[in-house]
This record gives sequence, structure tokens and C-alpha cells, in this order.
Amino acid sequence: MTEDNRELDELFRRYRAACPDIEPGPNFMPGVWDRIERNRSFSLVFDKLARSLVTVSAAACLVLAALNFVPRQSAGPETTRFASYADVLTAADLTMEHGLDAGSSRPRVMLPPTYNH
Amino acid sequence: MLVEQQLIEKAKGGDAGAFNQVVTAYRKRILGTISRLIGRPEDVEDVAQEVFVRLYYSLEQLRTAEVFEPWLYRLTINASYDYLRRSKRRPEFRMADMTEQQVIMADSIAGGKRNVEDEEKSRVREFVNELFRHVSDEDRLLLTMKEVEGLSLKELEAVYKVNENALKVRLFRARQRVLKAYQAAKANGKL
Repeated sequence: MTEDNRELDELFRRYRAACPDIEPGPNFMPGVWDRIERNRSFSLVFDKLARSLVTVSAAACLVLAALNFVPRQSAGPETTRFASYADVLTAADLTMEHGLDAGSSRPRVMLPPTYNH
Repeated sequence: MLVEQQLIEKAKGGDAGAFNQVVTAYRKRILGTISRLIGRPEDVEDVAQEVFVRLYYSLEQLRTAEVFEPWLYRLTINASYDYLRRSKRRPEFRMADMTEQQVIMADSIAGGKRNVEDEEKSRVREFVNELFRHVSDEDRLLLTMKEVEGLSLKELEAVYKVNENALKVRLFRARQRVLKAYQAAKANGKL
């Protein structure tokens, strides 16, 4: 061990003596309990907040799920509500082919003159 | 152990009286350790209170009462580390920021400086704190626990839950840095 190492050990010993054990003040224990109570009340508030948030989210989920299953009053025929765009086009095409659209208000498609012969 | 294991078990079970007894038994030792870890007497009580609050909330995670002391040391080191990090972020320390009790403590410390012995102690504290600035906060705490508090490598292993060899390497490097700073201070006549 070098001389400097020995001196450093001695310095650490002096440092320990310079920082002796401290006697706690009279407010030490009340201070500890004060902090514990403060932390506890904060976690209680946080707990309540988290619980209400979960309840509100669950309620919102239920409402949205219910809305999805209840049929809407103002909705159109089944085909329009649930069919895809391609299904609707096919249905419209079939209607035209069978001449069923004669009485309907659907406008006729006018082809350009070149295709009329 | 300063208290019986049954008392720790009782405190673990939520017995406030048992917890009070545990704090009363250990507070002086913890205050001393913190004072050497952070090197600022005016903030020691604040950090020690934080240690015992953390102990209160983490006691139920303690597996057995046998490992209570390393557990408490671990909490002490963590709270001191948080304090050192916080105080680094604080640009300056003003009297206006101090609580009434801290002002009284600071005054008594300043008053004690009139005494030659106390003046010497204060000089040693400042000098060692200056040397510790050459290592990280983690290394400062580890080195203090080993060299000043006098914990063995086995005890440190239990506190840090780190392999003994890894601790040896870390301690050696930290000590070398502090030694270099000491030699530089000696060469500059700062001793």
C-alpha cells in the first residue's frame, strides 16, 4: 500500500469522526407519520379516480355495444344497411335487366348516340 | 440486529406500534449513515424521514425479517442517491428556502465553527465532499458504505444484490479516482 493510500484511509477515518451519529429532533417521528398520512391520502384519491375512470369506461363500452345491436328506426332496407357496395350495384343491375324499374323513379341511363344502333 | 425479528414481523403485518419501535431503534444509525453519505447535516433529517416512509410502504415486500438490515440500508442508499441527484439540479441554496428547523440547525452548525475542533471537522467534510465530486453519485455512495461506514464486501453484496467481484472492480476504480483527486489536491497544496 502506498503512502497516499494510507493517507486516504486516514482521511476517511477523520471524515467518519467529522460526521457523527445525529440525535433525531423531537419532530422526527411526527414528521414520518405526517408524510405517511399524506402519501396515503394521495394514493386514496388516485385510487378513487382510477376506479371511477374504469367504471365510466366500462359504461361507455356497454352503451356503444348496445347501440351497435339495436336496429335504427330511420335506417333503409336490409340490403342497403348490411350489403356491400358491390352487392348494391349487382342488385341495381338485376332490377334494370328484368325491367322492374319501369315504375320506379330511378332515372334511365341515356347512352351516347354512337351506341344506339 | 437492533430489534427482534418478531417486532419486524409485527410491523410488517401493519402494527403501527411495532413500526414506531423499529424506527426508534434504527433512526440514530440511519441519520448517521445519511450524514456521511450526503455530507450535508442540514438535510439529514429530511432524507431519513423519507427512508422510513419508504420502509413503511415497502415492508410488506420484505421476504424474511433476517434480511431487514440490508433492506433498510438499500432504502437509505436509494433515498440518499435521490437526494444527491435532486441537489445537483438545484442551482443554489438560499436561506429563504429553508424551513425554520433547518435554519436553526444551520445556525448551530455555523455557530459551532467558532470552535477549533468543529472548524477542523467542517474542513474535513468539505475536503472529502470535494474529492467525491470526481466520482459518480453511485460510486460515492458505494465507496462511503465501504470505506467510511465500514461494511464488508459480503454485507455490500446483500445490500446491492450484486456479485462480489463486480463490487470489488467498481470499488477499486472509484477509489483510484478519489486517490488521484487526493494526490492532485496534495500537489496543489490544498491539504
